[in-house]
Amino acid sequence: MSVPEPTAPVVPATRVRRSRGQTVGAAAAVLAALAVGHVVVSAFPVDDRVSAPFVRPTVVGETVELRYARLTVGEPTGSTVVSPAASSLLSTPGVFLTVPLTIVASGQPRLLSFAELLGGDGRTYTVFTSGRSSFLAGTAQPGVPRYATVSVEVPPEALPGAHLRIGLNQEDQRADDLADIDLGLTQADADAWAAQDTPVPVPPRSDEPPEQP
Amino acid sequence: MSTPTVTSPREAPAGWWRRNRWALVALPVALALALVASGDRVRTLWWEQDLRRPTTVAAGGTGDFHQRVYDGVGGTLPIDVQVRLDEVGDATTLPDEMELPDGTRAVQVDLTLSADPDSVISGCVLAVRDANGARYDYVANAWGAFQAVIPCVPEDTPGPRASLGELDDKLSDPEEPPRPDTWSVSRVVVVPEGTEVTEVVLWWQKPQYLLLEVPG
Repeated sequence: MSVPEPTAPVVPATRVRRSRGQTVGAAAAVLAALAVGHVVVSAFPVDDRVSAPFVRPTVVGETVELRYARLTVGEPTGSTVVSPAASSLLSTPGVFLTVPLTIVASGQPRLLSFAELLGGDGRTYTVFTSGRSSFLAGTAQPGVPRYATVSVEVPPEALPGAHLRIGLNQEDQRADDLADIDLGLTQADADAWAAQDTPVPVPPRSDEPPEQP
Repeated sequence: MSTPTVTSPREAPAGWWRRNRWALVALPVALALALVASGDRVRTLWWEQDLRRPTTVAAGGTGDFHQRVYDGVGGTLPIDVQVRLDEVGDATTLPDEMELPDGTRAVQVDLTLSADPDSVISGCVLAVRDANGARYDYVANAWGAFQAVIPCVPEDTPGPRASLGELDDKLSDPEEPPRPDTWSVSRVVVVPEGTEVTEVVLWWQKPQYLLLEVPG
């Protein structure tokens, strides 16, 4: 702004004075860098992928190796009535689906506590709904097979194409192995079970194999 | 300022490194502080979630274990015990009504411990490990049997428990004899058949633990 007087000494500036154009240019470059950074961060769904569980697909009868256990899923069955080990009979206008599991923990005692059903109708059915559905495997000693049963109350239309998911931590499945079991169910299974009123047993967890009917 | 002949010793504008020297010095410090500040949950969510700091006792030796553990009501309690592993082997007699699942065997762990009879050492966990590092825990209520709930103290004279405040008088039994200075316990752990126990581990609060080597 001020014009130096002709007599004034020329003192070299210790700081580099930038022209207005340079300042505006630098500000624009910073804003552009922020904008590019935002695009890079939001263009790729990194957060979701970093925290996603490692889904291990399997089918009925096959054994799947998880970080914390070896899991084998038995033949699913269903009915409108179940007979839980610790309570009276439960009946439903839908279907109770029961799936027997064999869990062999590895490394240290493990408490598998997460289960949910991804229905063929696109809905997710949680297993912890005030005790009508259940999965209580308890803590399993490594190398000692634990037999437990999942029971889920669902509408019949959820059964064809349904997948069962089993994991370690009920609250948090991020960044850990998660078994995804294709139960291989069809519309015929759903129709048969929706018309069935013979109670299906849900035996308590045990380290002895369940008796074959 | 007013003397025309005085010039700055630095004729050329100072270089970038020189102008920013203090910021450059501060940068590694700031980076270190940022890492420390963002790592505050590593301790609670990772370090204290597993057995990481062993006090190793060679086979046949007696281990001295010291730790200050949280008492759950805002304070800490000292754990101060001496432990010797007397023997590890197949259980000769199973606990009452224990039925071993197929493919398993029962391992008996005999320990001799010493501690001040007035000290609180009730929150202990016992386990055995094999050569691969797999850990098999002592389970008090399993396979049909009820063993001692606290594996490291005598069942009939367990000694004091952590204080619950005013309830202590009502909960404590004045008739109960004190815990002896030295005592032995014998506990049964169920492991898969073919498991060779190489270590016995005992802990109160992770990450510290007592690692007792089994004579090979």
